[in-house]
Amino acid sequence: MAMPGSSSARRVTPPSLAYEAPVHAARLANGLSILAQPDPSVPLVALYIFYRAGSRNERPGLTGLSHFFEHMMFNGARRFGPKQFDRVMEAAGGRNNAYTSQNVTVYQDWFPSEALETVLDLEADRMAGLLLEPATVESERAVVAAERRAMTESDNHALLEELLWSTAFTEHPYRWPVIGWMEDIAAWRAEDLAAYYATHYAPGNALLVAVGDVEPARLVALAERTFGAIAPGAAPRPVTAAEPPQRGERRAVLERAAQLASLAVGWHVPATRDAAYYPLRLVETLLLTGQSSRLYKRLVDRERVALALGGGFDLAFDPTLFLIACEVREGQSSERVEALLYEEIDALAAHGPSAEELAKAKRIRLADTFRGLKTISGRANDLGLCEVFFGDYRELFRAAKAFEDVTAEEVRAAASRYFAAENRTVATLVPRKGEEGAAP
Amino acid sequence: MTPARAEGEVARRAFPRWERRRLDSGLTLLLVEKPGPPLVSFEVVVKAGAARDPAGKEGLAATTFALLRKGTRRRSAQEFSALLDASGALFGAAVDQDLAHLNGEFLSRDAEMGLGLVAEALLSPTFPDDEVDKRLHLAIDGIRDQKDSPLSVIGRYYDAALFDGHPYARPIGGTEASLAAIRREEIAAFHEARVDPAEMILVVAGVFDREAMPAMVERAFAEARGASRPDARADERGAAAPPETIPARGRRVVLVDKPDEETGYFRFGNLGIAFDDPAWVLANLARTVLGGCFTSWLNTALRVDEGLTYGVHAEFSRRRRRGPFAISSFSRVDLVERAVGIAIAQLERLHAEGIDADTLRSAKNYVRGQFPLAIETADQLAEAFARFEAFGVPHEWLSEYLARVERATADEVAEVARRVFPRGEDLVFTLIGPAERLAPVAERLGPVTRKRIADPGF
Repeated sequence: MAMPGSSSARRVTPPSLAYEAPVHAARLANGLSILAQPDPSVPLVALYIFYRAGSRNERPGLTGLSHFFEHMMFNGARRFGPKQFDRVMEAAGGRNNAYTSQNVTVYQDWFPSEALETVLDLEADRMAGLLLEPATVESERAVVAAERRAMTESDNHALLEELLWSTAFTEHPYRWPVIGWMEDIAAWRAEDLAAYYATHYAPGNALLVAVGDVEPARLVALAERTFGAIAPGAAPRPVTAAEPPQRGERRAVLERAAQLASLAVGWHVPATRDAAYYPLRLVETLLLTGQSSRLYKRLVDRERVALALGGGFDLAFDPTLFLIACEVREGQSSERVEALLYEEIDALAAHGPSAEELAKAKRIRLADTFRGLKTISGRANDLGLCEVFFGDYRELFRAAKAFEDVTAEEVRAAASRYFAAENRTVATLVPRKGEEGAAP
Repeated sequence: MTPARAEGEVARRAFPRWERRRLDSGLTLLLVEKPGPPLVSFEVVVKAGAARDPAGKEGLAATTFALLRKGTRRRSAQEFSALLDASGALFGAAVDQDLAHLNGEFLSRDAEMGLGLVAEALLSPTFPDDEVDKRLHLAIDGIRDQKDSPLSVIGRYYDAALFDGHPYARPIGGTEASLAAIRREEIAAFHEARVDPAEMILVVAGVFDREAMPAMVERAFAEARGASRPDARADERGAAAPPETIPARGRRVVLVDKPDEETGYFRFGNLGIAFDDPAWVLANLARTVLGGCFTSWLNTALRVDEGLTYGVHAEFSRRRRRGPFAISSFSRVDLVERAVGIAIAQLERLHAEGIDADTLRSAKNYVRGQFPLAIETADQLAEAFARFEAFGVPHEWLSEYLARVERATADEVAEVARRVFPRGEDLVFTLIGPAERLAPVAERLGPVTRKRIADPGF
């Protein structure tokens, strides 16, 4: 996910974001929030609808329901029946997609501006009255099972990450995967689906963001006509589960046919709306972004023990994980990779970054902010994420200052506080050799 | 809006102002202005694609380009990376079958510095032994890692099977064995022979000073080049295009054993359409209907109606010569035969029935509607302009594209589809999964060659 915000290096005037067109905010009586940013340079609209519902809103036995709705929402509602959503959308020149995370489900439409009313009709229809016909549910259940089989169970890195989360969390719903456990995918019942839909797909739980060739007043008027009559619905029950503090390192092992070993380490870090957010984002940048990052330099370039490194932490409503994953080079050991990884993190926690290094990290965040603004999709996504996770879309424009204000000591303190051994969980992939189709 | 007005309006808004300059060094410079955030993209294209890698040294072009930032006459690999990151830049090299690309994206205020780094990487790399060794071993381990996930390698097995004997069969990134055989001197020689400013195309796109840019480019390239570097050898210039590709006749199947899988992955097809074929617009409309959008025939049949797969696509890879056309998807192992059978039936339907008027109208709207997003950003434009320039296709193609889509008739789309898309009897298949269970399926499709995923190569 592209992260908003950053700042410039020392002694350089921060570039202005002022060329950005203003954002218009509105709210319908039934609670639907609307953000619009007009930009007529592209003859299209990117329309994103954020529902504050993700796998954290599920419970054991019903994992994966949020993601399943991301599929079912395309399978017919009261006015536009089965297969109609995509047919009408594509015939009008539009394309769509959606994604589900632990925290939110986001529906994305990209369409020529003439199709605005049609797209709002389609979106309002599936928010108002989704059909959950048994035959369609069964067919889509098979699609999701195929997705899990191919994209998770055939992917060692995905399986390892799943194992990491389910080990690091014992109580909070972040412990199960967004796509859900295979057994649950097979087991959802009609009443589970109906209850989930009624609770989460309500206007008060949603945010509509439109960027591109769109006139805000007309958008709000059309939204009033299309969404205005949908009942507000009761507020979803808050997620009250809290993960108890971790008091010691946890380890888990995955044995699979694989050519290389790999490793994933996670540390508990606070939710997005915590003061540690910006310092931690800079820790992430210092450790992982670019070939001059501390971990690339040490593990990939100098010691040649890791193939590639990835990780970071997501925007999250609840305390989450800062994750680092890497593949271990042929002939190297996971133990060595792990030891070197901790050495680098301990060095950052002990000494913090130099002024020059911190300036570099801030500059990377600034450039990244600009990259997020290159497309109407990037802007719709970033505005929506800021509104949902920080409570205000204007965080996108404040972030530059927020990064600029972070000191080297705050970065050091964040690294020191959260990257302690007792706060970490380690999952390792141990290859079962001779099962990967090698010559007998 | 009438359709004609709509086309003009969309083209005007989406298509940027641009100009071409030929610099004294021979370099072709394209300046493409694109308002937006203060970023500038540089895209350099050299006609040194993987199709010209020597046999047994597959991956030479990709290795050479990946190493351009790993040490220059002025600075070490580590210093180069530190400078890039300190400016928040993105910098990358990519090689395809026909072309090698180097691209950098910088904050506009760092344009001159960025251009200097691009020129330096292109013209004065030193290929230190240590960096060469690191790169080759990293790439070999990278292939091992990719082979653990079939979706990331099935295209390479398919190309190898389809282009058997043609340079397009060569994997861009090489193989475990070919990379181990590459020597530093070969990399340096490849660079000296193929990377010549007189043959280079540089596209500058985004927010920059159009008046100052040509002189800035001349300066950066002259400085980076210095006095010592000789011109490329004349006999290596004018990079010859690879020979014509020849469609496969009859059927053949490559079955790649990956015993631990519950999913069977498949990819099949034959040749598609060359980059400069004027019929590409029409072929792409037919491809959209067959497998290029969510309501496509393939997705409707395999995913929506039957729940057999998560996704299915029909794709062309646009190359100088006719590149591959492929239908690709995956399914539970015991459902692979059914999924492949339905997919072949949809392909044959295209030949038998053509496309009805309503479906064609929807496909046209979809293609026209989405096109502006393909050239929305400076880096997308830079890449598109560089490729068109390299293949000698007029840039007006982009601005006239929408009008050509609008004029397409069902008859001409059907005629092009019959010429371009393979028939059911002439198909090359690649299957990855547990061979023991997939062998009977493979044998019913055609004569089978078996491979094992952990064996070197593709």
